[in-house]
Formats: sequence, C-alpha cells, structure tokens
Amino acid sequence: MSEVPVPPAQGLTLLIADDSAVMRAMIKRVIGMVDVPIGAILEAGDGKQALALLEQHDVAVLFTDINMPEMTGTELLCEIERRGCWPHLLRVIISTDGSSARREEADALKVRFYLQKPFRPEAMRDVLDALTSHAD
Amino acid sequence: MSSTLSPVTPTECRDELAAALVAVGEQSFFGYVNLAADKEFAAAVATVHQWMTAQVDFRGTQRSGRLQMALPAALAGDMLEAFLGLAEPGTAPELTDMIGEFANMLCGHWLTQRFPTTSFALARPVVGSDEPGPQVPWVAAAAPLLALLNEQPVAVWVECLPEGGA
Repeated sequence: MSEVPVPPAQGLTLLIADDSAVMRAMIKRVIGMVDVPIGAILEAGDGKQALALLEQHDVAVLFTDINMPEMTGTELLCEIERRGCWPHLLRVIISTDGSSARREEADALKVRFYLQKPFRPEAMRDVLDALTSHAD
Repeated sequence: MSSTLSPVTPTECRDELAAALVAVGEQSFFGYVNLAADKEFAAAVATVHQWMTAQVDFRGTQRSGRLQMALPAALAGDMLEAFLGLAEPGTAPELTDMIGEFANMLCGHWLTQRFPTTSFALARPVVGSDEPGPQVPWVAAAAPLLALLNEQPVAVWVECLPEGGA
C-alpha cells in the first residue's frame, strides 16, 4: 500500500485496488492525463488492503479490479454494501471481464461505471467528469 | 457435472484471439498488430534471442481452460515502456507483471467475446522465460495464433473445455 500525493493538495482522494502494480501505475498515469483536481491516489493490492484504506481515508472514488487475491473486488463491494459506511463512494470496476453476468452483478452492488480492460483514456475522463459533477 | 457442451477448438477461435490481440495491443500498448503470413512470422522469429511466456487459467460454471502466449523479451520491454510511458527500461518485476497483465487482458477480452453472458474467474498469470533462440514456445500446440506486434512475433494459444468434459 502506498500514498502518492498529487497536486493540487485540495483535490479529491482516489483509491485503486488491483493486484498488478503495473496496472495501478497505468491507471494513475491515465488519471493524470485528465484535468480533474486530485489530492491523493491510494493503492491497494487486494480487497482487504482497500477496505483498510477506506477506513482510514475519506475516499471519493474506488477503482477496483475483480480478480484479486485475499479478497476479490466483488467481495470488497459486498462488504462495502454490508457495512453501509460509504454511501457517497463512487464505485468503478476496471476488469478484463466484460460479461453481462458480471455487469449485472456490478449493478446490484451500486457500481456506477464499469471499464473493461483494455480501455481508452477517454473512458477514464468520463468517469472523472462524473466525479466532478458529483462533487459539485 | 456431465456436460453436452463441445470443446472450443483453437482453430475455431483464432479470429477471436486475433481480435483480442488487436484490441489489447493497440489500445493498451499503443502497438500495431499485423496478422502475419507464415513467411513474415518465420522471418521475425529468426531474430528472437529470448522468449517470455505467460499462462492464465480460467474457470466458469460450465467451462474452464487456459490461455498461453509467448513473445520476445525485447518486445515485452518495449511494451512496458509504452504501457507506463517510461523513458528508461522498466525493472524485471515490472516486466513480469506487465507480461502477466497482457495475458490477463487477452484472456478476459477473448472470453467476453466468446461467452458474452458468462463470467469467469481468472487465476493469477504465471510468467516465465524460455530457452534463448528462435524456436517459438507453444508452437507445437494445435493452431496457435501467430501474429506480429510492432513487427515482432507473438504466439497465442487457448484451450477451453466443458467442465467435466476433459
């Protein structure tokens, strides 16, 4: 787990949960291409780490993979729903699995956006634009 | 559970694998995919000094299987730099991670195209290196997809069987 501050300091906090460090770095890179004020980008290698970070930080957006060790993205989202502590958390799945079964499962877990890998940077811009309007 | 489903043969899914390679290679790695003729592929293979391989096992409710791929180490290095926008070569762990993620994306994309209503669990990719030299790993397997990515050879092969039908 790590925390990488990104100016401006007043921006929003994002959390990326993916067991691939390279994929997390790529997602951060794409986020950096979009003109949205980001305060910090937190990283987790699995769902358990993501849950611990959610407990410690005021996270605005969760980007999560599905297939992860320890706790999958689906299990993470179920736990978030069960606890009910983060009603305003914008939930985004970034996964290679684009099946309708998985998307229906995501809908039931209040996932706002579903990005299938590979995705274009424009898709991330749409997510962060929604975040900006959400924050206003 | 017994099954009446048929195995998916590598031959019948070559076009889908090619579409997955184009999507992943071009969108995530900013590469150019050429579904090469055998002669072009053989010429590219002759220049390879070291192969890298990756394997992703997948399991669904009715089918399970494995995707395997091979690519030159030099191409993997170029892809990592493109993926992360690096100005310098990445580290060995980053390279292994990227190759695994490449295979993971190929597998997930192919599965979604082939079985659009079914979700699958994908195992963590297993990445390795093969003997130096121009012989393509997995080429002995039935009908691998042979293509060029940025003019370097990539081989992809998939095996998909009904659960309990092996």
